[in-house]
Amino acid sequence: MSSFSTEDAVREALHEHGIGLCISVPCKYIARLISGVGEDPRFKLIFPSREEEGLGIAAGAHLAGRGSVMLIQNSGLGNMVNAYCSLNLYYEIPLCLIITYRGDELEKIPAQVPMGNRTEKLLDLLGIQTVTLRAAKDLPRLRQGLEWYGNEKKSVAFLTKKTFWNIS
Amino acid sequence: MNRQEIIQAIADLAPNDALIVSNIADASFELCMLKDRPRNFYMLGSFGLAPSIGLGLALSRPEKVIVINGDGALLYNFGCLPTEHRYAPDNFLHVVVDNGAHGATGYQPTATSAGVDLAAAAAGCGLRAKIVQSLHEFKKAVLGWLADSSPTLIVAKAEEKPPQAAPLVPFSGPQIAARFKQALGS
Ligand SMILES: [Mg+2]
Repeated sequence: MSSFSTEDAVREALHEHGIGLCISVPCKYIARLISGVGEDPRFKLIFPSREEEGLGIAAGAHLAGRGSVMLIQNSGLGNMVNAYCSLNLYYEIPLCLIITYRGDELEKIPAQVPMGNRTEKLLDLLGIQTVTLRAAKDLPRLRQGLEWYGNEKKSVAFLTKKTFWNIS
Repeated sequence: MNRQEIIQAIADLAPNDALIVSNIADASFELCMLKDRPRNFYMLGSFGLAPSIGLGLALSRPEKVIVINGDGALLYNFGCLPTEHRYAPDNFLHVVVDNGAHGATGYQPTATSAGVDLAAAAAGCGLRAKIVQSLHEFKKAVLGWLADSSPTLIVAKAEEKPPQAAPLVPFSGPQIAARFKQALGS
């Protein structure tokens, strides 16, 4: 067990970039990240019933000047498309997403695959800047992406592969 | 009572610094017509998400936050109720104008017209919910919340529609967001 895990590094990066509110519809890939956030007093963790609702909470936090991130599966991205268009795009409210990439070549559950096949195209269609993270060595790209998000005030999605989270 | 009377009462009773989030279409148009102010967030899309936006605000700011929702919109995002029970702070009030219909799309009946009791559902989710039938009762409930944060969800049984429709909100989304943020210094 390393003393400083990927999950620890993600938490540090979020905190350093002013993100204190984490909104999650969970995924087992990020179970350790979620429990770490829940135990870290620098963060407030919220589990909405659905992703679309979480998007609304994140938008309210943004309007109030509070940084937030959504921790969701790509399946959940599909659940928030209209709300993203009519709230985030229309009002120019940026959204920060950490998305676990289900239904890719590493997936064990076949029902995840059709959405997995369409995830990158969907993010592109929504105009969300996407940063794919495949391994711990990609952590600097998380920091760069968060920097970009803070400066540009435009949405960013970190599309994280199973391997980024060291899940076998 | 009708929705405009309910919204007028909210506008009259809300503290000056309160943040008000209004549901898509008529609730937003009417709030803007009756009392436009920078601390109003007129939600013109994202059906159902007014209470979620309000919750995000209430979790991040000390001011009172009042959400003006509708019955159809609450049914659409019903999952917001358990979330409110778990996380909503005391500065959050959820008002549901229950006219039993989807007003903006031609008054198709919603499930509340078939007897679904939104206050009972909210109570089942652990919220301090109250149903009111008159404007007088409604004002009393809002004053109660202002005094001691109870109830936190008010279902106001309303007439189908007010006699006069309100004009569209004359601001764009970015204008609404920008002046809201400017008022909050965020
Ligand atoms: Mg209605």
